[in-house]
Amino acid sequence: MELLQNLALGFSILADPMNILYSLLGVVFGVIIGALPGLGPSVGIAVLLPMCYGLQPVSALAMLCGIYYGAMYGGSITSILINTPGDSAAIMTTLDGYPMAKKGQAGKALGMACLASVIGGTISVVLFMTLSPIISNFATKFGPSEYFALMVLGLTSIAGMTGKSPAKGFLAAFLGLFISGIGIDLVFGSTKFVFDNVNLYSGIDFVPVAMGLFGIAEIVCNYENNNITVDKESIKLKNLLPSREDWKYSLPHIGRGTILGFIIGMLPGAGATIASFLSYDMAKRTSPRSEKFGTGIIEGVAAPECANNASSMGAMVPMLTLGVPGSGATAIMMGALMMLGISPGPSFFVNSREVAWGLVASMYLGNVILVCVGLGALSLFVRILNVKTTTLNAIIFVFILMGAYALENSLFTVGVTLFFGVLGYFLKKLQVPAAPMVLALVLGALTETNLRQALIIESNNFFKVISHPIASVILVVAVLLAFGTPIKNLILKMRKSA
Amino acid sequence: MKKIFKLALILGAALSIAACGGNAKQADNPKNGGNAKNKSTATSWVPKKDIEFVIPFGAGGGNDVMVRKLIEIIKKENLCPVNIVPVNKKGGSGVVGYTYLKSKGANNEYTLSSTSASFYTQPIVGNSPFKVNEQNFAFVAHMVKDPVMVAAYPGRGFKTMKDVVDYAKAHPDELTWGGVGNVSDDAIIMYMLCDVAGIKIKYVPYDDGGLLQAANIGGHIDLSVPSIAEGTELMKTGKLTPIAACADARFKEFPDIPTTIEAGYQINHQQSRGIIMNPGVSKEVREYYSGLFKKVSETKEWKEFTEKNGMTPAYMSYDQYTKFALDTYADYEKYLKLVKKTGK
Repeated sequence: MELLQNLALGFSILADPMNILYSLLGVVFGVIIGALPGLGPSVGIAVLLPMCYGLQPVSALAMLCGIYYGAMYGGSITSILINTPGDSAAIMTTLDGYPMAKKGQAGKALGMACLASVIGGTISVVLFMTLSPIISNFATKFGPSEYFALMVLGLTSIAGMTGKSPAKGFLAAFLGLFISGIGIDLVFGSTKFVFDNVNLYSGIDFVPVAMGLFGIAEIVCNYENNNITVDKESIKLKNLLPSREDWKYSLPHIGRGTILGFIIGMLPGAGATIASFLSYDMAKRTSPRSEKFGTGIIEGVAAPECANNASSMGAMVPMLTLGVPGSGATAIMMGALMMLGISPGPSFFVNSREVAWGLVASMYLGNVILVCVGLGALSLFVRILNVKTTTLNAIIFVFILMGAYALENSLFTVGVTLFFGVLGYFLKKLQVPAAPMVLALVLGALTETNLRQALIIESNNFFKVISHPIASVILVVAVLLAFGTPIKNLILKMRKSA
Repeated sequence: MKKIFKLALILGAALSIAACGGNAKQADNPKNGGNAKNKSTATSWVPKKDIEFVIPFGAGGGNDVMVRKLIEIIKKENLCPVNIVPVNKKGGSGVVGYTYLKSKGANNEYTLSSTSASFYTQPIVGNSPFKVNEQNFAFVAHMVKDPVMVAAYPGRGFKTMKDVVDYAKAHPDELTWGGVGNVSDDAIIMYMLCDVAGIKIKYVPYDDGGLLQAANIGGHIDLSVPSIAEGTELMKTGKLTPIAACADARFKEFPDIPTTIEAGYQINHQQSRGIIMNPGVSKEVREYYSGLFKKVSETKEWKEFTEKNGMTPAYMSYDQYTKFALDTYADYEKYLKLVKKTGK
């Protein structure tokens, strides 16, 4: 089969031990960068880019892929251990990962996060390899109407993370929607809630908000609680690997989450964040233990983790087949490829066969190394919890502020983070969940932008907007998800009384 | 033992801070200044301390890439006796960067910045207090123009500008034209076309160029104006149809595609990128920088860079650029009147 031949070619190019070393370097660096709050794969790739100048294309790609995967996993480490997501894709991991850590199962959560990430990553490489030619046009089928529908679907998943009080969850979501509207309007150029402050022209980015709401608020609240101690038993390797029972619960979700993540990753307008939200929501709806989500169950960690790694692979599809970057990190990767003299695009796989398949092989390699590094260093990560709380909090606080400044080279962003840190503290006290606020912030701007673009295209005919075939299917699904249960209950009640 | 360790750590930190500071001092070293005097032309002013180059946009963008390349060439060819340090100050479509530049003082001779379309458009739409005139800025050197190609979704079957215009005349307000930003050059080109051809096309603003391309390829958007760097691959493989080049001359990669002027439409508007500084600097300072960037523009590496990135090299010295900038500002005022916008 030609496919296997190509893959063999790729691996033969990669087989040089130096390439394995580069991949290892990339993974380790990526994990560290991913764990630091506010920094994600984009930063990691950008920082290591200069090191790629003198390297062969395949070696450079091996390193960059390693960083990408490592960062996707790294974000979940701090999510689980200290409830501070390393990047937005790891926010969902806090919902069940941190409660698991509080229950003393931090090692298991980390182990599952790593394995789910790798399984999701590997399956999606296979999908990428086999389906690329067929699905390369998938990204282009989505225009503003379709993205609008997808964002509406994403917004329905908010219901799944409201916790005990839906009203409070929706309150947080509406706050998030409001904040997403701040900035200069895309269509008219008028200013909304900018208060003549130049720094607000481009709106409020969700990264400082997430760091403040989750990171700083958590630190402040920790002063009032005791910290988690980890005893030596729970960090032995056999306790870190998920048990048979855990696999029984998680595998179906990993399977579904991977496919969902991959598909969403392929859409340039959506990304790892949305993929992890939707995967978590899907897992919650389909799991027999659905009411336990949020209290610390293993599939609540597995589902978002496999989805965000699958989506990072999915984002490579439009990048390599069309030359259109599928996410921020792939945009930088594309820059890296162009710097190496390769232009990704429709003729990439045809013209640069060796590099293309070397890239695919290095994705497999990256996943393998991630497993080794992730599991091998697990006991190290878990020991972080043994550091005295006050010291740990101080260090995290410094890293959060540094990350906030590094985002835009501006103290304004640091101010935003601190503001949301204070807000987050009050939200925690009032038991208002923070995840819906961040989700609404991320999706709100996208929903509005896409809706308005769609309206312009269809000359303000809303009905025409929602009657695009793909859009209408997605919207029907969203309506069913939102109203399905009440309607079902209503029907059941009517049957009973009849 | 613990105390000694802490002391050693503090000493080590102090030493490394001192070492960092040491680099900046080298610029004042008279030896370096002497070398540069021999290389530069006989201007009466030379920089004596490090120069800060404020990039008013994010890392990785067109402006950022260009400025960093300039600095790289200057360093490699030893064209300047001091270091030039790039600093990104993004926000407000350039306003944050220009505010920072002006905060250094009207007579500051060691801070430079760069311009692109937003330099002209933002003050006109009221989002920037810095009108483009000689009271606010000194214009140092113009470096490149960014030509684009008018491209269409292949499914529409357009081959020439005439096809597009004829269709638009027969179906007003049906065709869609996508661009990044709502008062950017992408939009201005469309409004100019509508004005000279008497047609109506809908403008759809995007804030993500990649997403716009995907939409154009998929047929959700009919027309767009990608740069050569963005669009060559797609146009060569038939994912997009090149219609006309919005440039001074036909693109090398597409010798059969006429320019917009050859096709009969006076819409050759290109984004320009130049270098500015604070308004109070003397003529000698402007001459120095102008000469410095002239040398960069003559290097082989710069020519390769502009060619690879589809930019048209268009160096202008400080006096030429001043006139050009003021004229361009007046033009932009005219164009933006064509752009529909709500009042504020």
